[in-house]
Amino acid sequence: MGEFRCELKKYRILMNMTQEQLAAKVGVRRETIMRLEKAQYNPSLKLAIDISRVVSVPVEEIFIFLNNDILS
Amino acid sequence: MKREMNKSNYTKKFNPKLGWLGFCGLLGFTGLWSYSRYNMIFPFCFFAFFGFFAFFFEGKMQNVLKDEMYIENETKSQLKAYKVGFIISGIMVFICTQSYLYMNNNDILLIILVIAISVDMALVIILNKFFLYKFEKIE
Repeated sequence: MGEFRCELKKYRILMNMTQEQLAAKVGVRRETIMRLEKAQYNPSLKLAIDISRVVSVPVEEIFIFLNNDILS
Repeated sequence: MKREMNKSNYTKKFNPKLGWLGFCGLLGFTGLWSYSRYNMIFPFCFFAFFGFFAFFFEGKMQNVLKDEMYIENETKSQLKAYKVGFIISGIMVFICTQSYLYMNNNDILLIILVIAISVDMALVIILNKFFLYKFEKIE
């Protein structure tokens, strides 16, 4: 599983949302959003897409994978 | 987009004091009396009741939404607990089969195996909930 950096907190704050509100919108717990923001949890594709729709930002701008060998 | 949050998507609610039933595992020692008196080995299985101590950990995770992270942590904790259980049971079976070559008393071997498997089962149940609690509470 690749390491990634998560920019979710930045976009969540721009949308004026708490972790609790975002979690309720995508159907997960606040703890899940907290771990996502710390890049301690690798979300499923569905969750990643749901989050990107809520914050209106493309998935690849929220979750930035490090050491992306496929592009080198 | 808001997903339905049915009651079935939440972990069950129960009294964590059920964990005290774990002390019923001490009933396993009645096997010493039953074996000496009636040649009965069955009571040694009661050591498996130590598994009830797992309720203490499960009680700390009551009424939690079972989202994808919870399900993943649950699977990871089950895998880790079963791995420990299989290793222990494998070692005990190996030790017992090797001891069989040197011991004439099959009853003692059977008692050791029953105790080992019962305690192993209890350990797997406790470790399952302990690891789940640990994965859920990592900051």
